[in-house]
Amino acid sequence: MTQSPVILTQTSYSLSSRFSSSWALPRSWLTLLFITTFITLNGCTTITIDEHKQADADITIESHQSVVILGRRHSSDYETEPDLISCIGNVMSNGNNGLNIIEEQTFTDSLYPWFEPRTAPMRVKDLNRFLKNEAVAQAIDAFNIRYIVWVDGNTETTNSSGSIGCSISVGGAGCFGFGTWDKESDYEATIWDYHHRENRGQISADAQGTSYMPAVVVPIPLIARVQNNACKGMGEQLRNFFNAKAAQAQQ
Amino acid sequence: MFSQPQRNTLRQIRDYHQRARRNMAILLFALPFFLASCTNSLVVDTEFPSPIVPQVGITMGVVYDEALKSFTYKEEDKNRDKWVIEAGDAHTRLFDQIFPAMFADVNILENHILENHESGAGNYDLVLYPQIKEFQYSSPKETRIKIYEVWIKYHMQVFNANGDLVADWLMSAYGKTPSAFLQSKEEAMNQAISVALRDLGATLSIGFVKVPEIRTWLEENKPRPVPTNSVSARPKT
Repeated sequence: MTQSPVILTQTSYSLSSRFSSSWALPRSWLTLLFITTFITLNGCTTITIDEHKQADADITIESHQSVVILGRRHSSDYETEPDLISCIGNVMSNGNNGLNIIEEQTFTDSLYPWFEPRTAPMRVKDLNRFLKNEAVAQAIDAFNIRYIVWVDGNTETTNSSGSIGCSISVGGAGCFGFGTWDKESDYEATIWDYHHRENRGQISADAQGTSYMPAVVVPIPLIARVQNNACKGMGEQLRNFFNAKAAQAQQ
Repeated sequence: MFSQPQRNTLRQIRDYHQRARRNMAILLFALPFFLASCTNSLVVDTEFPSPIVPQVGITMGVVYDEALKSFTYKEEDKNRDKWVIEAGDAHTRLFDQIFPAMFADVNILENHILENHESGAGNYDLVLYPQIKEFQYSSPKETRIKIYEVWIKYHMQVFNANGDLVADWLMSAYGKTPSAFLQSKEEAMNQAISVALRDLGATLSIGFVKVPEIRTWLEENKPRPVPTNSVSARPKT
């Protein structure tokens, strides 16, 4: 009775050592395949981008002018994620036709306390409220701001089901089961023309995706990168919005 | 006197007691470490920007009492995680950053000046006495994600040069961990408190001159003009 666990342990050890010696090369390939599978397999995401622009909007942005992207955080239910704002900024500043993007934290620190969750202007005309203060106007001018983009929304898990159980014993550890969850992103970007104090348009991005996690000994996460895809979709649309309008204005 | 089996039994009993005493000593030695590991300790660490607000041309005395300077929140509820949060230093750093931007001159006063008004309050136009009245938070157990929410309630009192109460109002500050991604409990709580303190700074720096009693006092006691963009030196102690 007392010897059986020892025998079991020895058996599993010898099996594993035999496996590792005779399957050395294929095993490394398998590991590589496994890692590649992890990286390449993603859950599916669908994105819908809508653009609404003012018909008479005169969008021009010169090379020395900048855009600042800010997240709305006035609601008690949700906050626009700082990493999403940063991600949109990266997408807009990348590439040949990238724009000058001011980092959100740098801008809000320099304009403290006028762009805090409870004090930020909700409408473009509200900018006049604190621009009467010369110091505030000078602080904004120091960034050469031409457009302010407000992003409002968040990503949340809307549904989840399934279960995965894991156990550890003398012979080893493993998991078994299946889990799935849905995520939904809903963001709207509003573009303010700082020079003319006018609203130039809105871009919305809705993304849905389902992630899966089958587990047969090892859990394999197939993650739908919903927020990341919403960021890329919105960032590219915003970049095109400014560039297309800038090209149109040059003609 | 004792037979061999009896001696063996006695030796076994003695060994058993020795082992029990040794195990108990180890347990007593290790117990504080186990208990300490169950408590989350945090000294709030954050920086604050200087506000851009119109400066009021008055000399403001500010009183930081011991309760504020050494403010520590200890969670007493047995059903919640144990927290020891030291936020006094973060509060004084915030006030030291925002008051010089708000007032032409700022001096930090000793606590006793409030108790004996005639001994020095006359050197100042007004004296501000901020106090923390309440600290509350919600933890991930309640919100189900690694996000902490923090509410802090303050009692603000302003006295004139004669030591008379000019204004007396309550303020609240709110903060939430901005992101639940890859953070320890302490980092998440630190961020929530930092956001709450930033909120306090914003509300106080914009709202101070809008407090009805303060507005009335400023109308009656014309503050001296201050140049635009001026920020007074760091508070004098």
